Amino acid sequence: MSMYPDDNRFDSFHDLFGVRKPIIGMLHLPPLPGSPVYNGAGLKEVIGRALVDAQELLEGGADGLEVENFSDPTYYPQEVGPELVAAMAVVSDHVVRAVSKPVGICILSDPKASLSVAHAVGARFIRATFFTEASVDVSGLVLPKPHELLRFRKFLDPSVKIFADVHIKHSAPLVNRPLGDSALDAKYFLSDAIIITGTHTGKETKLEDIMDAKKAVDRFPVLVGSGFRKESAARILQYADGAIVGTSLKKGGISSNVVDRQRVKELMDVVKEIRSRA
Amino acid sequence: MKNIDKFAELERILGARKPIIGMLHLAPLPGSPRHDDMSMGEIAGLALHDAQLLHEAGVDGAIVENFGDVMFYKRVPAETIAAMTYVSASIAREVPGLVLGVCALQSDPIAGMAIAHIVGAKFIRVPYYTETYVVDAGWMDSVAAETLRYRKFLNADVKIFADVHIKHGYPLAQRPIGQSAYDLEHRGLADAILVTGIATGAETKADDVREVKEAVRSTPVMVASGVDEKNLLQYRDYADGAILGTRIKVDNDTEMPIDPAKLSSFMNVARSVWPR
Repeated sequence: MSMYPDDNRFDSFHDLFGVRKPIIGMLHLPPLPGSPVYNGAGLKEVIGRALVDAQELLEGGADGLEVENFSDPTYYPQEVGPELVAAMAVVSDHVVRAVSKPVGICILSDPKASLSVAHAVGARFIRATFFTEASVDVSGLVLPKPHELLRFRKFLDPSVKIFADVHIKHSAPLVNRPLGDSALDAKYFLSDAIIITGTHTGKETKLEDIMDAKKAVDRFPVLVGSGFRKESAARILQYADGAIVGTSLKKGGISSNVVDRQRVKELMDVVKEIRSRA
Repeated sequence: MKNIDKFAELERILGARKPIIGMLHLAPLPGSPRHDDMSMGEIAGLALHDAQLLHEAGVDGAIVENFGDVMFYKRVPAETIAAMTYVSASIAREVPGLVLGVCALQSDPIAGMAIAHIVGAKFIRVPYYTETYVVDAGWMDSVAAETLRYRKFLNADVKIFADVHIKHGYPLAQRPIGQSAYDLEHRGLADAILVTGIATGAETKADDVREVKEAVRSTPVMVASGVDEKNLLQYRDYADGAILGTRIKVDNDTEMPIDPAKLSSFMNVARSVWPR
């Protein structure tokens, strides 16, 4: 079921990454200007860190990257300040120019700002951590505006894909509907992929949640967005169409650490083996 | 409270006692009404071309402005912030010796301050900073208080160049320009005050510049519209620098590229009016 007469989102997702079961590596940025824990030292170090992490991820075999202002909690619940739009534009521009794989933007939690930056720097997708439905998170009530986001995309740049979280970590949906129902809505209302997570960053995504979502959306990309690691990769990728990976690829498995290329390689070896069997 | 020597600060950021600043009028940016299929790379390329000319001609600074985005929003949306950041960062990277300023039209000093701070630009231009003006978009209210506090929040080394009785705007209260300038200095804490004619490219009245200069004590005053090699001399004794735009462009058309011959002959005049 889709509003598209010719729904090619599943193929278009795979065309973007050029591979089945793509693995997207997280670029968790250090605190940015305006962040409660920003160190005041300017963007040079931040850019340097992002470029090193990007290189480690891609040389380790990752298929894409997601740039995120991970270290700016608590995040703005709706509209971010201009300093964040500008900082994300500068850092993402450096990343996009340095790599040849698809890059995505996630400005927490302002998908319109993410789309603006994506268009300006030539990134290919955004992650909308809240897309459909009302939720509650640390900042209170979150009321995403998919109607605005979709019109804004049509207006600014229809080529940018929207990867939408469903029942995202660190929050609870205001109404406790089955995950599958919510997943179907996110598909029906024109996202390009959905993301299923565990309860917190680094926490494993439940297999039954992935199965529920996949059953609901069928031939439509379902990504895993937390806790993906080599030990569980085979189990998860039986159902999921790819994964966004951060924590398990970091030195010591700690989110705020730098990326460890060896960990990326080990994960990608497992993933490649799974792909070859499919 | 420390007293800031604004003249010394102007010289610190721009490297000149009487700085000449060039405008980088950007082509219509994504989301704006006249934007077409021009890519971000092409938009940045045009700006880079002008930026390089300004730098080679020995201009002391350049203002990146979303000039092509008519009809302007009063405050700019995220897509404009992202695009202006992208272009400004490209210029900062490719023409590293050129000191940059940012002007987010119609008048958004908060967005301008953010972009400037992030890309390392040294100042913002604010067309509507203090008082209320009637403009094409309705009216513009002052956001000076927010801007000054936002600068403190970011801890940004970014100066505020504020227009007084700017072109294209009509002060709601008709006061002498000198009085407005006095308040701009004492309440608005502007780091430089800009005086313009009635429209982009229109000559600034020398009397206005003099009145402003006589009304303020410690704030540099710059002439900021319609400046060219023929009229610069009349501002010599009252202006502390000039902002250069339309009249160094091909055909004196603001949307055209800079004409290198006009620029170079202007700079010769500027050096004789205000020797280094």
